[in-house]
Amino acid sequence: MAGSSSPSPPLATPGALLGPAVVFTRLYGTESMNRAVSGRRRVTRPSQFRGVIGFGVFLFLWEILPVAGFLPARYFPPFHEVVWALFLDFASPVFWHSVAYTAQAWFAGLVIAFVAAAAVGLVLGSVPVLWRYTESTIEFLRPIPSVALIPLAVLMFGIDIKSALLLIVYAAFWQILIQILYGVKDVDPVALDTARVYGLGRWSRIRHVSWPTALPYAITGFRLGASVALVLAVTAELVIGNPGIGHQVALAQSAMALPEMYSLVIAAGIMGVLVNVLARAIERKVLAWHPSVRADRQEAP
Amino acid sequence: MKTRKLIGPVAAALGLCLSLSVVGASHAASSTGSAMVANVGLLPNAETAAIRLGDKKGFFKEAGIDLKITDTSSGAAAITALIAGQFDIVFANTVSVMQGRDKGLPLVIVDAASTSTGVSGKDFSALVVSSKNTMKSAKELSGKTIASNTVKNIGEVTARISVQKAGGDGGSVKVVEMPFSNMEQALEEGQIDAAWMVEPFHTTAVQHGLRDIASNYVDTAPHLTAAAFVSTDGIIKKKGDLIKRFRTAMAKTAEYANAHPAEIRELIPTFTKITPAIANAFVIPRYDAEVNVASLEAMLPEMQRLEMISKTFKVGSVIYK
Amino acid sequence: MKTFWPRLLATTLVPVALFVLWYVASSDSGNFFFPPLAKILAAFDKVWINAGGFGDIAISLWRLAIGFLASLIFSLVVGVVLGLSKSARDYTEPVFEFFRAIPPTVMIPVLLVVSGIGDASKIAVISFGCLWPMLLNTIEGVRSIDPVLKDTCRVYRIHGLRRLFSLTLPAAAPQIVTGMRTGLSIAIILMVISEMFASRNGMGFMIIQFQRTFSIPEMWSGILLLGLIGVLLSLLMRVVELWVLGWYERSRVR
Repeated sequence: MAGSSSPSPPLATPGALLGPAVVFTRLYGTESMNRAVSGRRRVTRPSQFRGVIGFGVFLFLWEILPVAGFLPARYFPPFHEVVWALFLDFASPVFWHSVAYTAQAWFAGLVIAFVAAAAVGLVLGSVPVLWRYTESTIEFLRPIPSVALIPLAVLMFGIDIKSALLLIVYAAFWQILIQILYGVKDVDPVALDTARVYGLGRWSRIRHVSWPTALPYAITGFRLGASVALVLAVTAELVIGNPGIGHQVALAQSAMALPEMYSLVIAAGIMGVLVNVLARAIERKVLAWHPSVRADRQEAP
Repeated sequence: MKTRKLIGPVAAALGLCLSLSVVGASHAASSTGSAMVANVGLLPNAETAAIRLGDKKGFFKEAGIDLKITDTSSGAAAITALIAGQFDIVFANTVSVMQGRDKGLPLVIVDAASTSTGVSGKDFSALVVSSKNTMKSAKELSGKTIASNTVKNIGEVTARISVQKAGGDGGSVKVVEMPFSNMEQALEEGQIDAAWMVEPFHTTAVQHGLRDIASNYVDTAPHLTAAAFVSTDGIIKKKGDLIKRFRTAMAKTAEYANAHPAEIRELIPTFTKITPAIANAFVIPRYDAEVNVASLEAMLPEMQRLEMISKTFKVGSVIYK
Repeated sequence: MKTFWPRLLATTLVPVALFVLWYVASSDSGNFFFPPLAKILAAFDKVWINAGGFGDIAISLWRLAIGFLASLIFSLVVGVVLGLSKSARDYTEPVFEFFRAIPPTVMIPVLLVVSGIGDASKIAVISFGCLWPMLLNTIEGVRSIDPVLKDTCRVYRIHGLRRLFSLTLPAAAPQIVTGMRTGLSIAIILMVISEMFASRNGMGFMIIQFQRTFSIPEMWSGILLLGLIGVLLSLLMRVVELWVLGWYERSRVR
């Protein structure tokens, strides 16, 4: 890590042991949670076991090929070197500061995007006139790649967290908004009419009819937005230099510290897996009471 | 049922508050005590060793400045952050500063940061070729490919000038961009013909058998001011006292740093990834505080030819008065 | 025809109004980072339409196309195979899910080391990034084909390639297309970012150069350009979608 001379940490710090354990249980978790949410029964033992074998084969190849010379060890350090670098990371405060920074940017950006998208989506979805006039604008703005805003973010905010937030919020906002719009469109018109007949004002109708219907879509949007937010957070750090995981990867690369670079890539992957797991867990929690009405409308698994 | 429905909005509100506090909390620190706080952005490289040494030795405290150093990733990024108000003073290379001023940014050089040693073959910047390369002088680089860590910046400008001064055609050189750490490999594999390197990459490469073919800073001008400490018109107006104190401290720092290279070498591994072994072997720059205006003017013709700067630019506009 | 003019108005009113608002509001802008729209448009014309900026656009899109298509073909081939074989899936899915979770831009420094500074590493980055959503969606699409359809094929003795093209691919098409859409947006992001490092040409390179040299109107023109390209590619994707799924819809047994 930048600035520190080579430490000699204890061979197995608690964090280091936790790492692989987390990876494996979370991977199981993703699979079985996937199935639980979509309503199929829990996965049986053999396929989980096979998954472990598959992973094991991959790691084995990673270790053997560079050592045996089939892959140039200059570019592909063998797995044990990367694991050692990962252990060192888990013992390093700089590493955890970077992770915390990335997590902070991710969380803040995601929440702001979600609240904004929910507000805009509910309003646009419930007021047909507005939607008719803004649909084309949204369809135009949506595909603009958030990375196009990088130079602007740099100029406006430098390496302050706001530059990362600009990118994260912009990207996640559209993902979530589209899903919420689907959701609000899906509202049963009979239910809305009934609500109107009973004297519920527009705001009440939104709260009691539109929002619960849109909620599953909103949560799907949240899940998609969560992974987009992480990608943009890390990207911002890589390109702009905000002090998170992405920046550490860039530093490792520019110092040609390859085992460390790969270990940070793995760490980023673990963060990605955790984000997925977290999002799916929230999905299950929030939708536990909601009948799964929305089977075929998902964007991507 | 009621509580479940509330969870959503409450969580959203809490989350929103947390997020906004993250956004709000990122403002710079304010003054403490009678010392004025100076927010300084520095690259973590050997050229900023002097100011850090000066800070360690207490020259800044003596002058009444509380120095708050933050790492930046490049000169351009530092300048951007300066304009955005995140810093009072930043370290940046002089070419970027001149370009910025030319484009309308109110940049002012308050002090020089690093200056070329002026000794060919013993400078902290050089054009390096691979061990297998048989070229004898920069003249033979006409039409060839040189790597620089950023294109259209001080490396490219001075490299082209080097080739021109050696008798070759500076304009025919092709410059590609790549990180310093990739250059040695690219040279050995023949992907590029020469590379502009600064310390510590330069000495590391030489130790691995590569060799210098030109000292591009030396060829450009005697004692080229390569990098400087930059501020803005606005900051100078508002915090003129801070800038004066900074200059006082830097003058002392420069003198001390130039006289005590051993302490500089000792300090370098503590804020960079450079090992003590390399730190003791490589060439350190001169840490003059005086800007060599003539050396900046020497770069202008090439910059104008490369369309990096307008013909009406005057170096005087960027110097502290 | 009666609804044409109202519809046209509804579609264009807000965008045009926003554009005009931007133009007017920024016309006397002194802010360095937000120059007048007029200046940006002038820069757009100068950089991209005239002075060879078109070459950079072409290079970027070429790299995008190759990376995307390579991953698409790989996903179709490997995805179908894996989708049909539960045991193969069991072995490989955890590893693939992990790779998919890695934010693709983080692979840029890795590929810089491995494949150098040329086109190869940029295409490799784009390929690697968009591979996972497309592959995993293809697998999912093939895996979840209606078993009744599969049985019908078996009863009618439709096997091999014919079955592949009459049943497997069409049935999985909607899910594959979903994967392509995600893959395309990742590919665009990677196309731009990969050109911001160790590059000599391309849209990302140009934009980052403008930012580094503080050429702000030109930088904004690049942002506008990227927006346009994003929209155009998304429209292209829509067309492909309609073509693929339309064919699917028409050939479905009702």
